[in-house]
Amino acid sequence: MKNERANTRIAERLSGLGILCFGLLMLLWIIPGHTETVSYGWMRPQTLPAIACWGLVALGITQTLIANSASLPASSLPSAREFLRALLAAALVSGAIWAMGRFGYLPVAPLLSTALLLLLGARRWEWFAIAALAVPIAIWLITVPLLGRVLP
Amino acid sequence: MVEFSTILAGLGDAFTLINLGFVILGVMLGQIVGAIPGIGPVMAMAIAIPFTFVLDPLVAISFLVGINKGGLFGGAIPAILINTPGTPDAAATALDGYPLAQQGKPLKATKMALYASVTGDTFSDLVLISVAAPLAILSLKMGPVEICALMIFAFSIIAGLIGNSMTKGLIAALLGLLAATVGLDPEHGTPRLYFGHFELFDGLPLVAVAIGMLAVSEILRRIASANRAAPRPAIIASDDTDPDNIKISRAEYWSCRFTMARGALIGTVLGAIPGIGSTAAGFMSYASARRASPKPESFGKGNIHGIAATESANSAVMGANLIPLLAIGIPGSISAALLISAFKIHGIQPGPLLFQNQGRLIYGLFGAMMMANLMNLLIGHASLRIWSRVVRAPEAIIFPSALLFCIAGVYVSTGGMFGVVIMLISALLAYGMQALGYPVIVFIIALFLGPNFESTLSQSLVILDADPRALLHHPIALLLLILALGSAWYLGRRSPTPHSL
Repeated sequence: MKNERANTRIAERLSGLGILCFGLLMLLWIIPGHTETVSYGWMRPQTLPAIACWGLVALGITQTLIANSASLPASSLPSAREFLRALLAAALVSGAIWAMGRFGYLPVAPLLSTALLLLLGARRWEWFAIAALAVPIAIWLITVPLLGRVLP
Repeated sequence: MVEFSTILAGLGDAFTLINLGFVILGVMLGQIVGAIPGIGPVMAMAIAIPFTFVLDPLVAISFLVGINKGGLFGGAIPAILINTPGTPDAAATALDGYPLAQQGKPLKATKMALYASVTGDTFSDLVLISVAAPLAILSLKMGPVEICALMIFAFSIIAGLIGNSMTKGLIAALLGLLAATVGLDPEHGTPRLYFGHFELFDGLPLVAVAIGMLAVSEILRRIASANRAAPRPAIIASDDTDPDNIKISRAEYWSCRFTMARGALIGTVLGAIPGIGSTAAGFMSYASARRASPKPESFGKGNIHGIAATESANSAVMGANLIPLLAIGIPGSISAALLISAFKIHGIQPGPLLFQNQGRLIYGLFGAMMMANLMNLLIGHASLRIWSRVVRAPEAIIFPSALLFCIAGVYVSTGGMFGVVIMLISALLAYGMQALGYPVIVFIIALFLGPNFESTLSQSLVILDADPRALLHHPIALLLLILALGSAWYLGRRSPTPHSL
């Protein structure tokens, strides 16, 4: 229990530090480099982004200093296994999105679905038939012939 | 402000055959997805929004409202049958619903949930219909300074009430505001923070961000945490014919009238305040019904008053949630934020001007909401036995299928793969935010309100000549700013709540 609380407090401090660094990065490099300089008016292109980032810096410092383990329930932090599985799923989806842009929706969607089914531990062939075959075809039929829209 | 003929025309639009058909479809879909733990009406609405692009605005919004209303009741089904709420709103329903189902009365429990849900929802819709237009007239009298102050007040309430800490709520709001500044600057028309992607000139696509943060992130989380791909064990309604086990008699319904009235009132009041979800309303109503009961010890053991209290309150939140959206343009919940995406897809700007510019549509929406309540009751009553089998649907089929719908939907609504990439990035951001306890819904609300906030802030600075003392000539704005500081201070001191999104 004590360990759990210490871990969540560390996570709180680290996330506060991350927010602080993000705010500073935006203020020092990204906002000056990616907004036009205008010399008139109360609200310039960089005004609101800068206000938001100063706020992030202040709140990042606050969170780092007064990290409270109660504001982050230990249950909300994913375990290492869950985090890796989420990363794997995200990598699969990223790859599928890239492949859909090149080869189209219909050839790639069943492959993505199959990969996710395997990741979820599905073994029954009828589940593969529904999720990896019937659903992509149904989506294509709804979108292209029925709604008259295009898919990649 | 709205002529009687416009109201009649709007109601006439609501009761067309095609609208009725889509309301029925929405309610059925909502009840099915609500009954599947892990999906819920929010994800279903997010997935459905891009596909409503081809529909008439009223039909599209009625369909989405149908999904939401159906889902509010649908979430109670797995809470009662497998002790796993289909939606967080139904968490308190399981307290008495599951014990009653274990006593061999699953149909009785689900029917009580249905009747209470429809009663609470109808009450809150009637309040919405009577209150929204006068509030909108009032808010139209406000100038940019007052609107800007009102938005700051809304941010302080939303950031404080949603999530576990005020600091995290404010961080999420500022991140949302920062994301809202991507694209053309409204004051000078110069592009900013677009990193060479001309697709971002119009800002981040709200539909892609909403679907990514609400639906895809949840799918990734569920895929990551899934242990096995087996169907869930459920208490299935038997062929019992004893009316006491399968029906709610008139006397039983009537005996719950005060419980439901109290629940509907709690849900409506809490729902009208941006940021308080239906989960809180459900638990508060449950606690209040237990306190008022002559037999408090029977709660938690299958008391129908417990189910009635929870369901009337969590469903009453839905209609009331639309009060701030329609009256002042501030979404108070996830479903209201999603409705904004649907309004925007059809080129409609939510807010007080809606009653002036789109009065017919709004009264059509009110008519559709009442119709959806009736359909919720009829469809729910006829299909309870079927939905009780849906709760066993395996996650292995649901989540890959939902993901494919999200990809296709975002591609269709944004017109290219760029929107799909934004959806995935938003999903990863939301996954991280949820894991670290930052409220995602605050980010989305700030993203939506950002452009309007920047415009009114700019106008306010011109009107006040950037002199804070000039605020003394705007007493309402001053009062709202004092209230914002007060609520930030008060909510910042409260103890963390267990629910965050």
